[in-house]
Amino acid sequence: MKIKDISFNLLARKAGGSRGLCVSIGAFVVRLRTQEKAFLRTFSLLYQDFQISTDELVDFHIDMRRPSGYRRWLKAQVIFSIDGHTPFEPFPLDHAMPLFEWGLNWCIARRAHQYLILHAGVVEKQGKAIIFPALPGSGKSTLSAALGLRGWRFLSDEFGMVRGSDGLLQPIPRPVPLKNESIQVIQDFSPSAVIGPLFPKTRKGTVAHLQSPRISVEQSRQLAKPAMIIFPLYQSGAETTFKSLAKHYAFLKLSSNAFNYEVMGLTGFERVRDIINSCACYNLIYSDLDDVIKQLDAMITQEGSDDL
Amino acid sequence: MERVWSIPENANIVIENWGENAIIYSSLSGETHLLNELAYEVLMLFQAGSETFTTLIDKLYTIFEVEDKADLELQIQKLMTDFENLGLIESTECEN
Repeated sequence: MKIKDISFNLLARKAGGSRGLCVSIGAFVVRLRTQEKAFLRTFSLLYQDFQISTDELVDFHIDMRRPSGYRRWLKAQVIFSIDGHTPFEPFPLDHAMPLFEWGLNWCIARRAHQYLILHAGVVEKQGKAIIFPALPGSGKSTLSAALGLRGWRFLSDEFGMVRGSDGLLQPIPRPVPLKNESIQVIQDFSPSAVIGPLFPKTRKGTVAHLQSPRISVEQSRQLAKPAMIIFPLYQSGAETTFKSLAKHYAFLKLSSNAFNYEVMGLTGFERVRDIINSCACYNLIYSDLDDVIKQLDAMITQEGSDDL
Repeated sequence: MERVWSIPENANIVIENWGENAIIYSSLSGETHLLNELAYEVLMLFQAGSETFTTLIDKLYTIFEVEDKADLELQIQKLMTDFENLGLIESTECEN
């Protein structure tokens, strides 16, 4: 059963109860407990296609609650806690959604060491996945989101989750936190895209979350095989330019991009090595989403066809 | 007495060579290193067995066919110091 399949009142009762609302998000089960209805409304919009889980094994127990004391009511705040710990300072209550998303990022990056976790967008087409590893502000989220809106399978805008056992990519198609100019860019790019409320004055400027494509959410359990690594960089006015990368250089870029490369030890080395050996590696500079998508469509069709 | 260098017995060094450059992972330190062609060849010689400075230099003369042997010796001395500091090789004193 999906989140959108039950009434908001029932959803609120579940989330407000002691057992919480359990949701399957990628390979994880998240138990959310909150009584904040405004936050829950945004959550239920952005996560409407995600499955409510009946699994007893929960990966992350998350509470979103107001602090005790006067901040409960005056300039109200909200606290993110995981397993009873509060790793962050409280946020303004009306920023609960970005706090939840950043908090869940933190949980995954800190704890999911059965995966090599790349800081990357990931999309897939024709059974071939492209990994977009990049620093914040490089445009990887916008590019991944745009590809998802043009029929590519959207696996993530934030995490390239490489399974330690076999190197396959685990999707986690959560909502995309668009920032500042990217919000209008995606609205113009796809007027039918579902974008949640604007959250101004966050630590990353104005943020709004793009709902992930339904089909991508439904295929959350379908792993993908890496075929290309592309390090993207948005530059205003730039022509779309792909530049092939030497394998050793791509290795260094990819391993330093991972959140937990050192933690993974030899497995981390082997997974990065295998990805580099099996993928074409490029640097990409772009500004025009339609043009870069056209070129990626051609590249992914061509990729591997020489082997047939 | 002569100093002999070798890879530590309990070390597992995994090497991926891409032509002009190689990437290695050392299980002892948990660190990853980028090696140029010279460093890669030296490490491969140590992978094959223990070496004194003299035997190592002799083998490298043959591999690289260098003319300026003094320059090569200087480079190898620095390289072995770096390798030792990184825990990739260790030295022991041996009787001739």
